[in-house]
Amino acid sequence: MSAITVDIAEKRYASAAREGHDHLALADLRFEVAGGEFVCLLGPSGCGKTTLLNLIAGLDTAFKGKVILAPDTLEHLAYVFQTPRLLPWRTVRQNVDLVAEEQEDGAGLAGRLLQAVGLGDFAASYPGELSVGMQRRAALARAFACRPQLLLMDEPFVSLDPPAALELRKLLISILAERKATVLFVTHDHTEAVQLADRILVLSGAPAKIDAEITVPLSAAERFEAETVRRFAESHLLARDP
Amino acid sequence: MSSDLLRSLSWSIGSLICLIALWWAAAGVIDSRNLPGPPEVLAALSTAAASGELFHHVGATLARVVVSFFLAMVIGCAIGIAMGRNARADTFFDSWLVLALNLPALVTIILCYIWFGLTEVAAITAVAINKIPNVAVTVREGAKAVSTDLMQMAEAYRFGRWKTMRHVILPQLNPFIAASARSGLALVWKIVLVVELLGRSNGVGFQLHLFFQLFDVAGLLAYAIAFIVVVQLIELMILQPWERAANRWRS
Repeated sequence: MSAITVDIAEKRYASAAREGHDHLALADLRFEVAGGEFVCLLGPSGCGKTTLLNLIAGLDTAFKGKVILAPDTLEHLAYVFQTPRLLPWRTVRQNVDLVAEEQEDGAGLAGRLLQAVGLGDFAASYPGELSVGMQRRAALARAFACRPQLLLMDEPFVSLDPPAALELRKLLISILAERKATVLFVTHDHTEAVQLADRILVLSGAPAKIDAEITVPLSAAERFEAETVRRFAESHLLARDP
Repeated sequence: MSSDLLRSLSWSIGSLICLIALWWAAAGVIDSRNLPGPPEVLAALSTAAASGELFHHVGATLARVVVSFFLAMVIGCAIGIAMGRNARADTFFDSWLVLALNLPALVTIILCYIWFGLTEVAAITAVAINKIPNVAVTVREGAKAVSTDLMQMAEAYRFGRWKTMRHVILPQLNPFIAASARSGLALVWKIVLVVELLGRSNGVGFQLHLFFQLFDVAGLLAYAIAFIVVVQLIELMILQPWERAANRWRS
């Protein structure tokens, strides 16, 4: 069975601006993600991508339709948000521990993850003392601390300069090489999608529709050759942009 | 940093000395038994301390303050969090809270004594009931402002109720709880004195009643000063260090 089966008939929001009117955020959206697959949802801001992730994570249950996750996924679901969302009053180590402590050998796991994201020396720091890039690394370590079967990522590397974002994408790939997980990754950045995804779902419009489904057959090495990625994005993705 | 501390400390000491000097001068001018000067009050204080009475009564009052303070903080926080996190409960209980806030302390005290008798339980209940609404109102404001982002994070990572309360909600409420603790301590000990005056046979309030009947102003001031010192020590040695520890992450 698939890791995620999404079949959303309708998701509406009460509009804050106009009383009594509501806003149709998602409609007739159907797709599946296979176990171990890395799927990017590529679409412009405001097309309902974050809403979709919240529905899948079970944070929002007020919608028509259904989201089916593989058994036991909820206990091993990690969500990396658009902002790091670390607890500012807990140290980096405590932030990771709070998630890891539910796992077998949680303390060891938390330590290894902090090493893996390069924050071994900053375990005792508070998030406010770290740069944004380091906070994002900490959020990544926390995500893997629940031994995720499913990793939901909502533009986790925005607001970083391109080299820092690239470095974090490489870090994500290297962690995933050791710790298999199904990943659903939301982005509006073509390059990012091509570098990471096995499959890209191109979304457009509001409410969002799946415009295209693109398999990315590039090898691990090719994904970090700038020219190859640019060419792939141009021929498969940019052509679709109005 | 430490020179700043020293400067502010010397200012406080200087201003206190001025106050004592003013009091002394006034006592000298008026020259009446009804306004004793610092030496008479100090003498009353040392007599009471030597006989052990001072510690007996201050101890009794302090015990009541501690118990009713903790009761009020715990119950007030629980009500405040429940109302701040649940809009329906907030709408429903808001008018109850307004009523409780405006209920005179004396009314609660008398009612408690009538309903539960002149007992320790009645005394402590009365004090706690007077403080609970203030705590609830302050903490409610904090609970309303709890970050949705972090609550979503806690839910996504399956923190559960207790872990969410301890690591996500309570740290955000800390400034609100600290504010109500500080104002609470000052309010609670004053109400404890009234409760003691009306229906207990020990404590600072009971002693004050006695001094009132004897027109013993020196004794009255001696006990008042002794208790102010105790409350200030609690503030300096418990509340302020706790607040500093809770705010360490902000540095």
